[in-house]
Amino acid sequence: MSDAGIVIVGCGHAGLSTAETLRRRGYRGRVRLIGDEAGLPYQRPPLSKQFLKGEWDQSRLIQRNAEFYVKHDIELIPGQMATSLDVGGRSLALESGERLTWDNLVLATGAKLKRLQVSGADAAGVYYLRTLAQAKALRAALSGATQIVVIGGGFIGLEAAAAFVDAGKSVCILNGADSLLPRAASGPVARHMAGLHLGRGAQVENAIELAGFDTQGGRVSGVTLRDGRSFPADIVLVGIGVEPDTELAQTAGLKCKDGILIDEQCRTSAPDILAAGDCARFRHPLYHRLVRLESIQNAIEQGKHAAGTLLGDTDPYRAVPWFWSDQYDTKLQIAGLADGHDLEVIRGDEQGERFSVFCYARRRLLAVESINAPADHMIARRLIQSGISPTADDAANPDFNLRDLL
Amino acid sequence: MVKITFVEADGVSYDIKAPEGWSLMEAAFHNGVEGIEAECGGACNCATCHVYIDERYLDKLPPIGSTEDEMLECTAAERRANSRLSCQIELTAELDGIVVDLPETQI
Repeated sequence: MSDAGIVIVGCGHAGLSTAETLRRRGYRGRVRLIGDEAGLPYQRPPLSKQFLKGEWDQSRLIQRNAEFYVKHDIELIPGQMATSLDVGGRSLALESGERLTWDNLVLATGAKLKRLQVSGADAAGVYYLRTLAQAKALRAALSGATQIVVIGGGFIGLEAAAAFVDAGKSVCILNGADSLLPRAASGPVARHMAGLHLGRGAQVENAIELAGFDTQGGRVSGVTLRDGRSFPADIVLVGIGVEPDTELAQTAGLKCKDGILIDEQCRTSAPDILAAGDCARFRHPLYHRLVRLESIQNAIEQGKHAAGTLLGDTDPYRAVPWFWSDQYDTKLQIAGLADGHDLEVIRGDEQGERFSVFCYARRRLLAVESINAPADHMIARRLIQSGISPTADDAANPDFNLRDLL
Repeated sequence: MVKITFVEADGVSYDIKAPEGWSLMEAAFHNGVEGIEAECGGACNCATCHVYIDERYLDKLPPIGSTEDEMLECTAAERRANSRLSCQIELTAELDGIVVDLPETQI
Protein backbone atom coordinates (compact mmCIF):
# COMPACT_ATOMS: atom_id res chain seq x y z
CA MET A 1 0.00 0.00 0.00
CA SER A 2 1.22 3.47 -0.84
CA ASP A 3 -0.29 6.61 0.63
CA ALA A 4 -2.37 7.14 -2.51
CA GLY A 5 -5.48 5.77 -0.85
CA ILE A 6 -8.81 5.36 -2.55
CA VAL A 7 -10.01 7.32 -5.54
CA ILE A 8 -13.73 7.25 -6.32
CA VAL A 9 -14.89 8.29 -9.77
CA GLY A 10 -18.40 9.71 -9.65
CA CYS A 11 -19.99 11.65 -6.85
CA GLY A 12 -23.55 10.55 -7.33
CA HIS A 13 -25.29 8.49 -4.66
CA ALA A 14 -23.01 5.45 -5.07
CA GLY A 15 -19.73 7.36 -4.99
CA LEU A 16 -20.71 9.47 -2.02
CA SER A 17 -22.01 6.44 -0.16
CA THR A 18 -18.67 4.67 -0.67
CA ALA A 19 -16.69 7.66 0.58
CA GLU A 20 -18.89 8.19 3.63
CA THR A 21 -18.88 4.55 4.59
CA LEU A 22 -15.08 4.37 4.39
CA ARG A 23 -14.83 7.21 6.86
CA ARG A 24 -17.62 6.12 9.16
CA ARG A 25 -16.00 2.72 9.44
CA GLY A 26 -12.64 4.17 10.31
CA TYR A 27 -10.64 4.09 7.09
CA ARG A 28 -7.72 6.44 7.60
CA GLY A 29 -6.14 6.59 4.16
CA ARG A 30 -6.71 9.28 1.62
CA VAL A 31 -10.20 9.45 0.05
CA ARG A 32 -10.73 11.42 -3.14
CA LEU A 33 -14.13 11.82 -4.77
CA ILE A 34 -14.19 13.01 -8.36
CA GLY A 35 -17.33 14.28 -10.06
CA ASP A 36 -17.90 15.65 -13.52
CA GLU A 37 -20.53 18.13 -12.34
CA ALA A 38 -19.71 21.34 -10.52
CA GLY A 39 -20.57 21.96 -6.89
CA LEU A 40 -21.45 19.73 -3.96
CA PRO A 41 -22.99 16.30 -4.58
CA TYR A 42 -26.78 16.50 -4.70
CA GLN A 43 -29.79 14.22 -4.62
CA ARG A 44 -31.24 13.26 -7.97
CA PRO A 45 -34.74 11.95 -7.10
CA PRO A 46 -36.21 15.37 -6.22
CA LEU A 47 -35.14 16.80 -9.60
CA SER A 48 -38.19 15.32 -11.30
CA LYS A 49 -40.41 15.91 -8.28
CA GLN A 50 -40.05 18.67 -5.63
CA PHE A 51 -37.46 20.66 -7.55
CA LEU A 52 -39.31 20.60 -10.87
CA LYS A 53 -42.51 21.66 -9.12
CA GLY A 54 -40.70 24.62 -7.61
CA GLU A 55 -41.33 23.38 -4.05
CA TRP A 56 -37.63 23.08 -3.28
CA ASP A 57 -34.78 25.42 -4.02
CA GLN A 58 -31.32 24.24 -4.97
CA SER A 59 -29.94 24.38 -1.45
CA ARG A 60 -32.30 21.61 -0.37
CA LEU A 61 -30.92 19.24 -2.99
CA ILE A 62 -27.44 19.26 -1.53
CA GLN A 63 -26.55 15.89 0.02
CA ARG A 64 -24.12 16.97 2.71
CA ASN A 65 -22.89 20.45 3.46
CA ALA A 66 -19.36 21.62 2.70
CA GLU A 67 -18.22 21.24 6.34
CA PHE A 68 -19.06 17.56 6.20
CA TYR A 69 -16.36 16.91 3.61
CA VAL A 70 -13.81 18.85 5.61
CA LYS A 71 -14.74 17.16 8.88
CA HIS A 72 -14.44 13.69 7.35
CA ASP A 73 -11.41 14.54 5.24
CA ILE A 74 -13.07 13.57 1.98
CA GLU A 75 -11.30 15.42 -0.82
CA LEU A 76 -13.97 16.50 -3.25
CA ILE A 77 -12.80 17.19 -6.78
CA PRO A 78 -15.88 18.49 -8.60
CA GLY A 79 -16.26 19.60 -12.20
CA GLN A 80 -13.63 17.19 -13.51
CA MET A 81 -14.04 14.44 -16.07
CA ALA A 82 -11.81 11.43 -15.65
CA THR A 83 -10.39 10.91 -19.12
CA SER A 84 -8.35 7.74 -18.91
CA LEU A 85 -7.48 4.97 -16.58
CA ASP A 86 -4.19 3.10 -16.38
CA VAL A 87 -4.94 -0.16 -14.59
CA GLY A 88 -1.38 -1.49 -14.35
CA GLY A 89 0.09 1.87 -13.40
CA ARG A 90 -2.73 2.53 -10.91
CA SER A 91 -3.41 6.01 -12.13
CA LEU A 92 -6.26 8.08 -13.42
CA ALA A 93 -5.98 11.06 -15.74
CA LEU A 94 -8.33 14.01 -15.36
CA GLU A 95 -9.30 16.45 -18.08
CA SER A 96 -7.29 19.11 -16.29
CA GLY A 97 -4.19 17.08 -17.14
CA GLU A 98 -3.71 16.06 -13.53
CA ARG A 99 -2.89 12.43 -12.90
CA LEU A 100 -4.04 10.77 -9.68
CA THR A 101 -2.52 7.58 -8.37
CA TRP A 102 -4.50 5.17 -6.22
CA ASP A 103 -4.23 1.99 -4.23
CA ASN A 104 -7.85 1.20 -4.96
CA LEU A 105 -10.23 2.76 -7.42
CA VAL A 106 -14.02 2.72 -7.22
CA LEU A 107 -15.94 3.37 -10.40
CA ALA A 108 -19.30 4.97 -9.62
CA THR A 109 -19.69 6.54 -13.01
CA GLY A 110 -23.45 6.07 -13.11
CA ALA A 111 -25.48 6.23 -16.27
CA LYS A 112 -25.85 8.65 -19.10
CA LEU A 113 -28.93 9.70 -21.02
CA LYS A 114 -30.03 7.99 -24.16
CA ARG A 115 -30.62 10.68 -26.73
CA LEU A 116 -33.11 10.78 -29.55
CA GLN A 117 -31.69 10.76 -33.04
CA VAL A 118 -34.52 12.22 -35.10
CA SER A 119 -34.84 15.37 -37.15
CA GLY A 120 -35.13 18.46 -35.01
CA ALA A 121 -33.87 16.68 -31.89
CA ASP A 122 -31.32 19.41 -31.22
CA ALA A 123 -33.86 22.25 -31.50
CA ALA A 124 -34.28 24.74 -28.68
CA GLY A 125 -37.07 23.70 -26.35
CA VAL A 126 -36.10 20.02 -26.28
CA TYR A 127 -35.07 19.01 -22.77
CA TYR A 128 -33.64 16.04 -20.97
CA LEU A 129 -33.65 15.49 -17.22
CA ARG A 130 -30.86 13.84 -15.29
CA THR A 131 -28.57 16.53 -13.94
CA LEU A 132 -29.23 19.58 -11.81
CA ALA A 133 -28.26 21.84 -14.70
CA GLN A 134 -30.84 20.15 -16.92
CA ALA A 135 -33.50 20.38 -14.22
CA LYS A 136 -32.79 24.09 -13.76
CA ALA A 137 -33.07 24.74 -17.49
CA LEU A 138 -36.33 22.83 -17.72
CA ARG A 139 -37.80 24.52 -14.65
CA ALA A 140 -36.90 27.94 -16.04
CA ALA A 141 -38.60 27.14 -19.36
CA LEU A 142 -41.84 25.99 -17.74
CA SER A 143 -43.33 29.38 -17.01
CA GLY A 144 -43.45 30.25 -20.71
CA ALA A 145 -44.93 26.93 -21.80
CA THR A 146 -48.57 25.87 -22.03
CA GLN A 147 -48.33 22.70 -24.10
CA ILE A 148 -45.77 20.07 -23.19
CA VAL A 149 -45.02 16.77 -24.87
CA VAL A 150 -43.25 14.15 -22.79
CA ILE A 151 -41.54 11.40 -24.76
CA GLY A 152 -41.19 8.23 -22.73
CA GLY A 153 -43.47 6.49 -20.26
CA GLY A 154 -40.86 5.52 -17.68
CA PHE A 155 -40.40 6.93 -14.18
CA ILE A 156 -38.79 10.19 -15.25
CA GLY A 157 -41.32 10.92 -17.99
CA LEU A 158 -44.29 10.18 -15.75
CA GLU A 159 -43.00 12.06 -12.71
CA ALA A 160 -42.25 15.09 -14.85
CA ALA A 161 -45.65 14.79 -16.57
CA ALA A 162 -47.33 14.82 -13.15
CA ALA A 163 -45.37 17.93 -12.17
CA PHE A 164 -46.36 19.63 -15.43
CA VAL A 165 -50.05 18.76 -14.99
CA ASP A 166 -49.94 20.04 -11.41
CA ALA A 167 -48.51 23.29 -12.78
CA GLY A 168 -51.55 23.65 -15.04
CA LYS A 169 -49.89 22.64 -18.29
CA SER A 170 -51.51 20.73 -21.10
CA VAL A 171 -49.52 17.49 -21.23
CA CYS A 172 -49.24 14.68 -23.74
CA ILE A 173 -47.21 11.57 -22.95
CA LEU A 174 -45.90 9.79 -26.05
CA ASN A 175 -44.74 6.34 -25.09
CA GLY A 176 -42.95 3.95 -27.43
CA ALA A 177 -43.96 0.81 -25.52
CA ASP A 178 -47.39 -0.80 -25.39
CA SER A 179 -47.96 0.28 -21.81
CA LEU A 180 -46.50 2.73 -19.31
CA LEU A 181 -43.53 1.73 -17.15
CA PRO A 182 -42.71 -1.17 -19.48
CA ARG A 183 -39.45 -2.06 -17.78
CA ALA A 184 -40.59 -1.44 -14.26
CA ALA A 185 -44.16 -2.46 -13.60
CA SER A 186 -46.74 -5.19 -14.10
CA GLY A 187 -49.92 -4.75 -16.14
CA PRO A 188 -52.21 -3.80 -13.25
CA VAL A 189 -49.82 -1.10 -12.00
CA ALA A 190 -49.20 0.23 -15.52
CA ARG A 191 -52.96 0.47 -16.08
CA HIS A 192 -53.46 2.20 -12.75
CA MET A 193 -50.78 4.78 -13.53
CA ALA A 194 -52.23 5.37 -17.01
CA GLY A 195 -55.67 5.89 -15.46
CA LEU A 196 -54.15 8.30 -12.97
CA HIS A 197 -52.61 10.48 -15.68
CA LEU A 198 -55.71 10.33 -17.88
CA GLY A 199 -57.88 11.23 -14.91
CA ARG A 200 -55.79 14.32 -14.30
CA GLY A 201 -56.24 15.42 -17.90
CA ALA A 202 -52.98 14.27 -19.45
CA GLN A 203 -53.11 12.58 -22.83
CA VAL A 204 -51.38 9.20 -23.04
CA GLU A 205 -50.41 7.64 -26.38
CA ASN A 206 -48.76 4.23 -26.27
CA ALA A 207 -46.90 2.30 -28.98
CA ILE A 208 -45.97 5.46 -30.82
CA GLU A 209 -43.25 5.70 -33.44
CA LEU A 210 -41.58 9.04 -33.65
CA ALA A 211 -40.97 10.63 -37.03
CA GLY A 212 -39.36 13.84 -35.86
CA PHE A 213 -39.70 17.20 -34.16
CA ASP A 214 -41.37 20.11 -35.90
CA THR A 215 -39.42 23.31 -35.58
CA GLN A 216 -39.96 26.98 -36.25
CA GLY A 217 -36.90 29.21 -36.38
CA GLY A 218 -34.78 26.63 -34.59
CA ARG A 219 -37.34 26.12 -31.80
CA VAL A 220 -39.42 23.03 -31.31
CA SER A 221 -43.10 23.53 -32.12
CA GLY A 222 -44.38 19.99 -32.03
CA VAL A 223 -43.79 16.29 -32.47
CA THR A 224 -44.83 14.25 -35.47
CA LEU A 225 -45.36 10.50 -35.50
CA ARG A 226 -44.78 8.06 -38.33
CA ASP A 227 -48.54 7.54 -38.67
CA GLY A 228 -48.84 11.22 -39.53
CA ARG A 229 -50.32 12.39 -36.23
CA SER A 230 -48.82 15.55 -34.87
CA PHE A 231 -48.79 17.01 -31.34
CA PRO A 232 -48.07 20.69 -30.80
CA ALA A 233 -45.60 21.55 -28.05
CA ASP A 234 -43.91 24.62 -26.60
CA ILE A 235 -41.40 22.34 -24.98
CA VAL A 236 -40.60 18.64 -25.20
CA LEU A 237 -39.11 16.55 -22.45
CA VAL A 238 -37.34 13.40 -23.58
CA GLY A 239 -37.14 10.62 -21.00
CA ILE A 240 -36.23 7.48 -22.90
CA GLY A 241 -33.88 5.96 -20.39
CA VAL A 242 -30.20 5.79 -19.67
CA GLU A 243 -27.28 3.55 -20.42
CA PRO A 244 -24.40 2.73 -18.11
CA ASP A 245 -21.39 4.99 -18.36
CA THR A 246 -18.72 2.40 -18.99
CA GLU A 247 -16.43 4.39 -21.24
CA LEU A 248 -13.58 4.75 -18.79
CA ALA A 249 -13.76 1.10 -17.77
CA GLN A 250 -14.04 -0.19 -21.31
CA THR A 251 -11.12 1.77 -22.69
CA ALA A 252 -9.03 0.56 -19.76
CA GLY A 253 -9.86 -3.02 -20.70
CA LEU A 254 -12.15 -3.89 -17.77
CA LYS A 255 -14.81 -6.48 -18.59
CA CYS A 256 -18.09 -4.82 -19.47
CA LYS A 257 -21.40 -6.05 -20.81
CA ASP A 258 -24.06 -3.36 -20.68
CA GLY A 259 -22.43 -2.31 -17.43
CA ILE A 260 -19.12 -2.86 -15.69
CA LEU A 261 -19.11 -6.50 -14.65
CA ILE A 262 -18.51 -6.98 -10.94
CA ASP A 263 -18.51 -9.92 -8.59
CA GLU A 264 -20.52 -10.27 -5.41
CA GLN A 265 -18.02 -8.08 -3.55
CA CYS A 266 -18.19 -5.31 -6.17
CA ARG A 267 -14.80 -6.19 -7.71
CA THR A 268 -14.33 -5.62 -11.42
CA SER A 269 -12.14 -7.82 -13.61
CA ALA A 270 -9.19 -5.85 -12.20
CA PRO A 271 -9.03 -6.83 -8.52
CA ASP A 272 -7.93 -3.40 -7.25
CA ILE A 273 -10.82 -1.69 -8.98
CA LEU A 274 -14.39 -1.88 -7.73
CA ALA A 275 -17.61 -0.56 -9.18
CA ALA A 276 -21.02 0.26 -7.74
CA GLY A 277 -24.35 1.78 -8.66
CA ASP A 278 -26.04 2.37 -12.03
CA CYS A 279 -22.84 1.56 -13.96
CA ALA A 280 -22.38 -1.94 -12.54
CA ARG A 281 -23.75 -5.31 -13.61
CA PHE A 282 -23.64 -8.21 -11.23
CA ARG A 283 -25.15 -11.61 -10.51
CA HIS A 284 -27.88 -11.07 -7.96
CA PRO A 285 -28.01 -13.99 -5.51
CA LEU A 286 -31.76 -13.58 -4.98
CA TYR A 287 -32.49 -13.73 -8.71
CA HIS A 288 -29.65 -15.91 -10.03
CA ARG A 289 -29.00 -13.73 -13.04
CA LEU A 290 -27.00 -10.71 -14.07
CA VAL A 291 -28.75 -7.45 -13.26
CA ARG A 292 -27.94 -3.79 -13.55
CA LEU A 293 -30.06 -1.57 -11.36
CA GLU A 294 -30.93 2.07 -11.83
CA SER A 295 -32.01 3.01 -8.36
CA ILE A 296 -31.07 5.08 -5.37
CA GLN A 297 -31.34 2.12 -3.05
CA ASN A 298 -28.84 0.09 -5.05
CA ALA A 299 -26.50 3.03 -5.51
CA ILE A 300 -26.38 3.68 -1.76
CA GLU A 301 -26.21 0.09 -0.57
CA GLN A 302 -23.80 -1.12 -3.24
CA GLY A 303 -21.61 1.91 -2.52
CA LYS A 304 -21.55 0.83 1.12
CA HIS A 305 -20.78 -2.70 0.11
CA ALA A 306 -17.85 -1.62 -2.06
CA ALA A 307 -16.47 0.30 0.91
CA GLY A 308 -16.91 -2.81 3.05
CA THR A 309 -14.94 -4.91 0.59
CA LEU A 310 -12.12 -2.36 0.69
CA LEU A 311 -12.13 -2.68 4.46
CA GLY A 312 -11.86 -6.46 4.33
CA ASP A 313 -15.49 -7.65 4.39
CA THR A 314 -16.13 -10.81 2.41
CA ASP A 315 -19.92 -11.10 2.48
CA PRO A 316 -21.79 -11.03 -0.84
CA TYR A 317 -24.05 -8.18 -1.87
CA ARG A 318 -27.62 -9.43 -1.75
CA ALA A 319 -29.84 -6.45 -0.94
CA VAL A 320 -33.42 -6.58 -2.22
CA PRO A 321 -33.80 -3.94 -4.92
CA TRP A 322 -36.52 -1.41 -4.29
CA PHE A 323 -37.85 1.57 -6.16
CA TRP A 324 -40.40 4.27 -5.67
CA SER A 325 -42.17 6.89 -7.67
CA ASP A 326 -44.40 9.67 -6.39
CA GLN A 327 -46.87 10.99 -8.97
CA TYR A 328 -49.66 13.38 -8.01
CA ASP A 329 -50.80 12.04 -4.62
CA THR A 330 -50.02 8.46 -5.53
CA LYS A 331 -47.16 6.50 -4.10
CA LEU A 332 -45.85 3.62 -6.18
CA GLN A 333 -43.37 1.38 -4.38
CA ILE A 334 -41.71 -1.67 -5.86
CA ALA A 335 -39.83 -4.33 -3.92
CA GLY A 336 -37.83 -6.86 -5.91
CA LEU A 337 -37.53 -7.53 -9.63
CA ALA A 338 -40.60 -8.84 -11.44
CA ASP A 339 -38.95 -9.81 -14.74
CA GLY A 340 -39.98 -13.26 -15.86
CA HIS A 341 -42.96 -13.58 -13.53
CA ASP A 342 -45.70 -16.03 -14.46
CA LEU A 343 -48.36 -15.10 -11.92
CA GLU A 344 -49.82 -11.83 -10.63
CA VAL A 345 -51.84 -11.87 -7.43
CA ILE A 346 -53.72 -8.74 -6.39
CA ARG A 347 -53.98 -7.81 -2.73
CA GLY A 348 -56.56 -5.08 -2.23
CA ASP A 349 -58.80 -3.49 -4.82
CA GLU A 350 -57.24 -3.19 -8.25
CA GLN A 351 -59.92 -0.70 -9.28
CA GLY A 352 -59.41 1.34 -6.13
CA GLU A 353 -56.71 3.63 -4.83
CA ARG A 354 -54.79 1.09 -2.81
CA PHE A 355 -53.55 -2.33 -3.79
CA SER A 356 -50.44 -4.43 -4.31
CA VAL A 357 -49.47 -6.82 -7.08
CA PHE A 358 -47.53 -9.88 -5.93
CA CYS A 359 -45.46 -11.22 -8.82
CA TYR A 360 -44.42 -14.88 -8.70
CA ALA A 361 -42.39 -17.21 -10.87
CA ARG A 362 -43.03 -20.91 -10.20
CA ARG A 363 -44.65 -19.98 -6.89
CA ARG A 364 -41.64 -18.05 -5.73
CA LEU A 365 -42.27 -14.41 -4.84
CA LEU A 366 -40.12 -12.20 -7.06
CA ALA A 367 -41.53 -8.75 -6.53
CA VAL A 368 -44.36 -6.75 -5.01
CA GLU A 369 -45.60 -3.53 -6.55
CA SER A 370 -47.67 -1.38 -4.24
CA ILE A 371 -49.98 1.51 -4.95
CA ASN A 372 -50.53 3.58 -1.81
CA ALA A 373 -49.85 0.51 0.34
CA PRO A 374 -46.60 1.24 2.15
CA ALA A 375 -46.98 -1.51 4.74
CA ASP A 376 -47.29 -4.13 1.98
CA HIS A 377 -44.12 -2.72 0.46
CA MET A 378 -42.12 -2.80 3.64
CA ILE A 379 -43.22 -6.34 4.50
CA ALA A 380 -42.51 -7.45 0.92
CA ARG A 381 -38.93 -6.27 1.18
CA ARG A 382 -38.45 -8.45 4.21
CA LEU A 383 -40.23 -11.45 2.70
CA ILE A 384 -38.10 -11.33 -0.45
CA GLN A 385 -34.89 -10.81 1.50
CA SER A 386 -35.72 -13.86 3.60
CA GLY A 387 -36.80 -15.97 0.63
CA ILE A 388 -40.32 -16.36 2.02
CA SER A 389 -43.12 -16.73 -0.51
CA PRO A 390 -46.66 -16.42 0.81
CA THR A 391 -49.14 -18.68 -0.99
CA ALA A 392 -51.19 -16.92 -3.63
CA ASP A 393 -54.30 -17.33 -1.46
CA ASP A 394 -52.64 -15.72 1.55
CA ALA A 395 -51.24 -12.88 -0.56
CA ALA A 396 -54.69 -12.17 -1.98
CA ASN A 397 -56.42 -12.29 1.42
CA PRO A 398 -56.35 -8.85 3.06
CA ASP A 399 -57.24 -10.44 6.40
CA PHE A 400 -54.13 -12.59 6.34
CA ASN A 401 -51.34 -10.82 8.17
CA LEU A 402 -48.23 -11.22 6.01
CA ARG A 403 -46.10 -10.15 8.93
CA ASP A 404 -46.90 -13.46 10.60
CA LEU A 405 -44.70 -15.16 8.01
CA LEU A 406 -41.62 -13.26 9.11
CA MET B 1 -33.20 29.20 12.00
CA VAL B 2 -34.30 26.41 14.30
CA LYS B 3 -31.92 24.90 16.82
CA ILE B 4 -31.99 21.12 17.07
CA THR B 5 -29.99 18.63 19.10
CA PHE B 6 -29.65 15.12 17.68
CA VAL B 7 -28.44 12.46 20.10
CA GLU B 8 -27.16 9.21 18.67
CA ALA B 9 -27.80 5.92 20.43
CA ASP B 10 -24.20 5.89 21.71
CA GLY B 11 -24.62 9.33 23.25
CA VAL B 12 -22.78 11.42 20.64
CA SER B 13 -24.76 14.60 20.12
CA TYR B 14 -24.93 17.20 17.39
CA ASP B 15 -26.17 20.77 17.79
CA ILE B 16 -27.50 21.98 14.49
CA LYS B 17 -29.30 25.00 13.13
CA ALA B 18 -31.53 24.61 10.08
CA PRO B 19 -33.97 26.87 8.26
CA GLU B 20 -37.70 26.82 8.96
CA GLY B 21 -39.51 24.91 6.24
CA TRP B 22 -36.89 22.20 5.97
CA SER B 23 -37.64 18.81 7.44
CA LEU B 24 -36.02 17.50 10.59
CA MET B 25 -34.47 14.75 8.43
CA GLU B 26 -32.89 17.27 6.07
CA ALA B 27 -31.33 19.12 8.97
CA ALA B 28 -29.69 15.90 10.10
CA PHE B 29 -28.76 14.73 6.65
CA HIS B 30 -27.08 17.94 5.47
CA ASN B 31 -24.97 17.97 8.57
CA GLY B 32 -23.97 14.34 8.34
CA VAL B 33 -25.66 13.12 11.51
CA GLU B 34 -24.83 9.43 11.45
CA GLY B 35 -27.95 7.83 12.87
CA ILE B 36 -30.16 8.95 9.98
CA GLU B 37 -29.95 7.01 6.73
CA ALA B 38 -32.78 8.70 4.81
CA GLU B 39 -32.27 6.50 1.77
CA CYS B 40 -35.26 7.90 -0.08
CA GLY B 41 -34.29 11.50 0.52
CA GLY B 42 -37.41 12.42 2.41
CA ALA B 43 -40.27 10.95 0.42
CA CYS B 44 -41.64 8.72 3.21
CA ASN B 45 -40.58 5.64 1.27
CA CYS B 46 -37.95 3.91 3.35
CA ALA B 47 -38.46 4.35 7.11
CA THR B 48 -34.72 4.92 7.63
CA CYS B 49 -35.06 8.37 9.21
CA HIS B 50 -36.82 7.05 12.32
CA VAL B 51 -36.37 9.20 15.44
CA TYR B 52 -37.63 9.46 19.00
CA ILE B 53 -38.97 12.91 19.77
CA ASP B 54 -38.47 14.92 22.92
CA GLU B 55 -41.75 14.45 24.85
CA ARG B 56 -42.03 18.20 25.51
CA TYR B 57 -42.36 18.84 21.79
CA LEU B 58 -44.67 16.02 20.77
CA ASP B 59 -47.80 18.16 20.76
CA LYS B 60 -46.11 20.79 18.62
CA LEU B 61 -45.68 18.34 15.73
CA PRO B 62 -48.01 17.75 12.81
CA PRO B 63 -50.14 14.62 13.32
CA ILE B 64 -48.86 11.30 11.99
CA GLY B 65 -50.16 10.75 8.45
CA SER B 66 -51.44 7.37 7.28
CA THR B 67 -48.36 6.61 5.17
CA GLU B 68 -46.03 7.57 7.99
CA ASP B 69 -48.06 5.46 10.38
CA GLU B 70 -47.73 2.38 8.18
CA MET B 71 -44.03 2.96 7.62
CA LEU B 72 -43.45 3.38 11.36
CA GLU B 73 -44.82 -0.13 11.82
CA CYS B 74 -41.85 -1.34 9.75
CA THR B 75 -38.91 0.46 11.30
CA ALA B 76 -35.74 -1.45 12.10
CA ALA B 77 -35.70 -0.30 15.74
CA GLU B 78 -38.79 -0.61 17.93
CA ARG B 79 -41.62 1.86 17.51
CA ARG B 80 -42.34 3.81 20.65
CA ALA B 81 -45.03 6.33 21.56
CA ASN B 82 -42.68 9.13 20.57
CA SER B 83 -41.54 7.56 17.29
CA ARG B 84 -41.72 9.66 14.13
CA LEU B 85 -40.19 9.70 10.68
CA SER B 86 -38.09 12.81 10.65
CA CYS B 87 -38.74 13.50 6.97
CA GLN B 88 -42.37 14.19 7.82
CA ILE B 89 -41.65 16.88 10.39
CA GLU B 90 -41.33 20.38 9.04
CA LEU B 91 -39.21 22.71 11.12
CA THR B 92 -41.11 25.62 12.66
CA ALA B 93 -40.12 28.29 15.15
CA GLU B 94 -42.08 26.34 17.80
CA LEU B 95 -39.61 23.47 17.53
CA ASP B 96 -36.60 25.60 18.45
CA GLY B 97 -34.54 23.73 21.03
CA ILE B 98 -35.99 20.30 20.24
CA VAL B 99 -33.98 17.25 21.30
CA VAL B 100 -34.19 14.24 19.01
CA ASP B 101 -32.95 10.79 19.98
CA LEU B 102 -31.79 8.43 17.26
CA PRO B 103 -32.40 4.68 17.34
CA GLU B 104 -29.58 2.15 17.33
CA THR B 105 -30.30 1.07 13.79
CA GLN B 106 -32.27 2.21 10.75
CA ILE B 107 -31.81 -0.84 8.51
